[in-house]
Amino acid sequence: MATITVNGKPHTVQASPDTPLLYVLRNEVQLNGPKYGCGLAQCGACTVHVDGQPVRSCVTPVSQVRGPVVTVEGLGTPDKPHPLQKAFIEEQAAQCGYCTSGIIMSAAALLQGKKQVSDQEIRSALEGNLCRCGAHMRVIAAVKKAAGGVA
Amino acid sequence: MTVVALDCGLVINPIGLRAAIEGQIMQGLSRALYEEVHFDERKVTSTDWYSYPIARLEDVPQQVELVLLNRADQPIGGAGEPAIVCFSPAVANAVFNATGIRIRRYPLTPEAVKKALS
Repeated sequence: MATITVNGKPHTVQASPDTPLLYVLRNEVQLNGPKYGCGLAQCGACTVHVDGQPVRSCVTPVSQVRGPVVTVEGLGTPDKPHPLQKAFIEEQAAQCGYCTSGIIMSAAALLQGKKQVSDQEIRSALEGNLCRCGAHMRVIAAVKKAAGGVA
Repeated sequence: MTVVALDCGLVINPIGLRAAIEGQIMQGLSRALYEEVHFDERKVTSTDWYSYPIARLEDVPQQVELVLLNRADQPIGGAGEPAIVCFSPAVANAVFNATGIRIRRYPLTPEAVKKALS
């Protein structure tokens, strides 16, 4: 049976190799941060990092996972939140919050190794993450705020 | 510049009210520019986010000003959706202002505007 690393901990996968990574994360690892949105890689709610890159876990077979997986739960803790998590709370950048986990993971990938990001970079990087409530303006504000606090 | 003024009577939570209006702008914009359910003879053909596109982060207006009319002497009116209703006509009015053509059917896609102009 395959083993994957999730948020720094090894996990032995019980599901069949073609099972989407999202199902393994939610059903086996009990991480409900990544969300099932469309199941077609069109909405971004399931976005997690594999080897530091944002991927759509709803269409990624678990057998294809070749690096460490990080979910929104692995970015920070309630006591020590990631700058993005802190900024999203401060800016109240969610309404229903279903898209938030995926947006934060896409934004985290954008901010990796960057000191500053422009409005346009944020808009482009998060273009594939859909939000139905309309928290977009606050998302832009939160990512900008966090950009100052990410090493 | 996008300006929305909202009178919902007494304002209890201004941050929440702003967030609600911002959402309404995006939903109104989405309806005005993108959203339409398509059918063929037998079924709905808008079945995913490619065949039923909605507004995205790229569509956020560059400058937005919100005016909250806090009328404490008035009963609480609610602020769930009103700006959505006004926002789509505002977009259509902007198209009219720019082109002189009234388009009375949403969404105002590039194809629809081009057709109305020809």
